[in-house]
Amino acid sequence: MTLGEVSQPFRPRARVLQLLGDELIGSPRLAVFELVKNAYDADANEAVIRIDVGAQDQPDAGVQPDLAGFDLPARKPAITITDDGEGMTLDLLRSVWLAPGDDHRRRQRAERRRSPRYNRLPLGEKGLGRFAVHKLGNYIRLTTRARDANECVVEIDWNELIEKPFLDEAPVRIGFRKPEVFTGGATGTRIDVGELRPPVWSRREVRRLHNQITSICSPFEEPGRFRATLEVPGYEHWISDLPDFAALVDRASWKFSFRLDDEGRFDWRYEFRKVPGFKLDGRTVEKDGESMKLPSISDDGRRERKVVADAGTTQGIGRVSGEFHVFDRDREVLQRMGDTRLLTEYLDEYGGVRVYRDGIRVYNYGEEGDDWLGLDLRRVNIPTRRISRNIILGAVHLSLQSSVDLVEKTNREGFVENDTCRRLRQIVLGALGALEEERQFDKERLRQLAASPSGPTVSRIEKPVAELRKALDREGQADTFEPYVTRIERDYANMQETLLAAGMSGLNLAVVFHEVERGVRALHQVIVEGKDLAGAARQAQELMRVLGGFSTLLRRDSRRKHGARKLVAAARQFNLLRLRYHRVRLVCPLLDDGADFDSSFSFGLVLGALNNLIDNAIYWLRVRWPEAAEEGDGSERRLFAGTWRGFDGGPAIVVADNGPGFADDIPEHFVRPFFTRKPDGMGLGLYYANLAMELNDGRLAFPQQGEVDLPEGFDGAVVAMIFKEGT
Amino acid sequence: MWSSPQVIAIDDEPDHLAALANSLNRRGVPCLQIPFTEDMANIEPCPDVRVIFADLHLGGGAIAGDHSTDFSTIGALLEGRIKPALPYLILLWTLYQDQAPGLYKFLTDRLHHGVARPSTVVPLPKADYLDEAGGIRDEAALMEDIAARIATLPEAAALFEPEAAPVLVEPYRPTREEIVGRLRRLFAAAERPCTDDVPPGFPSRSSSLSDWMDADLPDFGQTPRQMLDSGDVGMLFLLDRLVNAIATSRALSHPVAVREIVRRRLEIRFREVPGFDPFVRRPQSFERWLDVPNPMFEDDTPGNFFRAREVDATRLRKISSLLDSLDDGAFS
Repeated sequence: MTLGEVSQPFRPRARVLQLLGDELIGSPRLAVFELVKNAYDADANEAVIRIDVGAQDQPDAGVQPDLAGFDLPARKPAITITDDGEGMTLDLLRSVWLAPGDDHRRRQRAERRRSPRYNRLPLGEKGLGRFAVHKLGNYIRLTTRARDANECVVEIDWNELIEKPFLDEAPVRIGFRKPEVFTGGATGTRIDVGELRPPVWSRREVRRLHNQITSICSPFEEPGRFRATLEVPGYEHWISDLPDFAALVDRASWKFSFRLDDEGRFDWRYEFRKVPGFKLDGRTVEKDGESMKLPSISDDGRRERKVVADAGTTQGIGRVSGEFHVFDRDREVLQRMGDTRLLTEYLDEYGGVRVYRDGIRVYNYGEEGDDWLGLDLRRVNIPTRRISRNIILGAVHLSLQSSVDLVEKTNREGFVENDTCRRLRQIVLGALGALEEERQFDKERLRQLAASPSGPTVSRIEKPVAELRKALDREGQADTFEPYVTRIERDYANMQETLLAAGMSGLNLAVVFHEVERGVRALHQVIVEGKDLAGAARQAQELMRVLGGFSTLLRRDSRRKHGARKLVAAARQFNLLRLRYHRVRLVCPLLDDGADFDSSFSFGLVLGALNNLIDNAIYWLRVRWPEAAEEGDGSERRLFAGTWRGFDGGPAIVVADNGPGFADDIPEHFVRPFFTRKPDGMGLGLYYANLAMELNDGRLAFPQQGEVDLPEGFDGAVVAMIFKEGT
Repeated sequence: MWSSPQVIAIDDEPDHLAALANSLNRRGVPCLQIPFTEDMANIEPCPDVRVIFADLHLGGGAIAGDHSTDFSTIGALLEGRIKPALPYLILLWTLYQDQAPGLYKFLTDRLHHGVARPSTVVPLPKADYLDEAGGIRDEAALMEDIAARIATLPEAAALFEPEAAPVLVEPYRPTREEIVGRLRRLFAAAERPCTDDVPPGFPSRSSSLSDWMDADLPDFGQTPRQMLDSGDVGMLFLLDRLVNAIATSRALSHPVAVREIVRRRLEIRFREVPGFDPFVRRPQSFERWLDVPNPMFEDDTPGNFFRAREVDATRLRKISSLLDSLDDGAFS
């Protein structure tokens, strides 16, 4: 039974506002960014951040102990953020700025109401960004003036306020006066912050702040005529030598720009620039209206995961465009580039891919320590081909109006992790994949020019493995990783031994060894950073798998006489579930009464090779025919496996499909290790298949259309496994 | 007549295969070794299989890309050769333990409608158990780990749990606390209602252990939950025998589709015997337990306990036959 009732509103403690600032905003630098964003939303043309660092050897210099009538600019160190936006009236100040959590910006965005001067949609939505100011310091004075209005001044002294028990007992003084700061017709807002927290801004911090401020606006896309600048009076030399972004990206060897539209059409331009010291021509490739091949990130909930982008891929994201500038940090290239210290330092600290919405940065994508695309991790397996964070300066552009399902986290650590965010990641990796695909050709040209005339040296894995083990011990991960490391080490040694003993020097395996060694180093780096250990374990397993596969190959199972039919039947059985699931119609007269032949080969190895061909075909059929047919309907995806006797050297099993084919690629590339056009591929499938055939006295061939008799409609890739007859 | 194996192991590395299978055999779990060869010629159907130890990379050769080719090979083996009739557990005996969820999804999505799906795929990392020479480093640890990994699956756990072994071959002498503890664990696992994860071939409607017992064993007079909560030793004993019959029945691999699985199993097994009623066979088996002194009944026999409670002999026999019809081999 209720005895009575009282009504009581929440009474937050005064310090709650300061706590919110502290908890929501990750760092003082991020706090500055939030305030600059507010300036953008206020339709400003410019935000000027001025930091008075004070005397560096006396952190408290200039701070007056007397709180009465404090003069903020005199209190060093101090930060001032001034914009020339629309400013705030007294009403707005009271109803919005002093009402945390007010959602007028969100409503404005939802209603697509754009700003009058620069036609902007507001970036803010939660009404929390203003807490940033409380993160920066204890004394705050906000001066603002809207058009045809008085100038208003809000003063907040947190030392005074937090002495009050409750927020409602800690009133904030708002003065209004004739304009003194924004005189004449000027409008805008100035925020002065004193008694900074932390009290000292070191040279390093200021330099980082400078780089951060210069990255707030996209360097590639004009964000509605908005710019942010930093001034450090008396300490200009602290930032004067910092590299200019435009000059930096000019030194990149590769430039890639792309656009994926709402319908999934992918336009891109790839440019390889001349590298100083190398006699190598630049190269440009441009494609319009292509299909973007998507890397597999997670199940997309469809019956069959899409391998190419379509209209659904950009749903809730809208059009995505971007630019990637990629540098070559191989020793041979850097040596020829001259002064590279500033460049490499910058890349180490700021390398990565940033995200911009309407030209304004979305944090913390591309910040130091953030690897939102998993670039470093995915590099473990194919370090030469994959682009790591410390060789790329990239930006991805989104439209605020279209990217409605990308919601920023309140703590400014990127977007809320939902399906849309995962698709965005997939798109960016897809674009990066297209760049990597083209880049592999020029990397190879560079490698050939830079290679020592005596050929690749034999890689040694002992040292990288020892370093990896040390790092694993240090990070307490030895138990998890040791089985993989042991296996990698063992298979590596066995392979080298086998190669030397059997005199198999012509197999191009030195490249594989070299790549594995670099992979171990990349793994070491990931372990040291300690960000994604589960992912690192997966990558270690994959590295182990690569070596394990070659190990099996070199063991050379016993060769016996087998029939082609038996081989194709086994391959069909192994792949039955995949062919059925992906609705691939297998045309295989050989299994009925087609011409069979015998040859002596290692069944397991050659079956592995055939499986790789089928695996490739299934993928490329999905690229050309993205929609899987419904059960019972005729499928467009078709695969042929049959025999052919028209080649020199012996009979062949021919695998053909009606996928996109090899286009202009030349066959020598296909069998080179690590060459691939699949975004998730390692480029070892055809290399392995070729190796397996060569070890069985056969070879892999890539006949042109018309060179072999095929049933009608198989107009895609044709691959032939040529055997030595009847031995 | 020999029945088909319930536990099998498949690997293309003979040393690894022998090490695992021999360890299981030595610990009293009969395991059929299937050395994998690319033509799969030596692999006979194992319709009754309940636990499959499978290596992930059976074919070799697939060194790049995702693991679809490896998954497909296992799928082809299941669909084309092993042909399990009922859901089963796969222990992925591999160095690549992260692939277990992927394999489960692959098989669930892609196996032919007529082939039973795995109830789950549990990784069993080879590297943790194999020594340098390819033998098992510590058999006891391996068996313990297997038991731990399948502990949530009572029907499979019964094959491996040390406490399950005496149930099959020795007089049954649990204390009341042991019975209550085990029943509560089993109920927790088996009372989940089944909605859409019923294996193919079974009606896709809600079914659970309790549902089944309620519907098919009215003679108990109480719902299984009431029996468990009553604390009455007689009821607990009957419930335990009932659940034990379910848990140890080779018919069961899927705790949430109990009734359908049991019925189907019995139909398959006995449909070829004209006039045979699967629900009235081996009446003596349960009675055997009635005459074994049991700590639950202060070392008296359950039979005496029931007689003292004036539970008539006809009713006990009926209960007995019902239980035995489910047990399918546990007492023989």
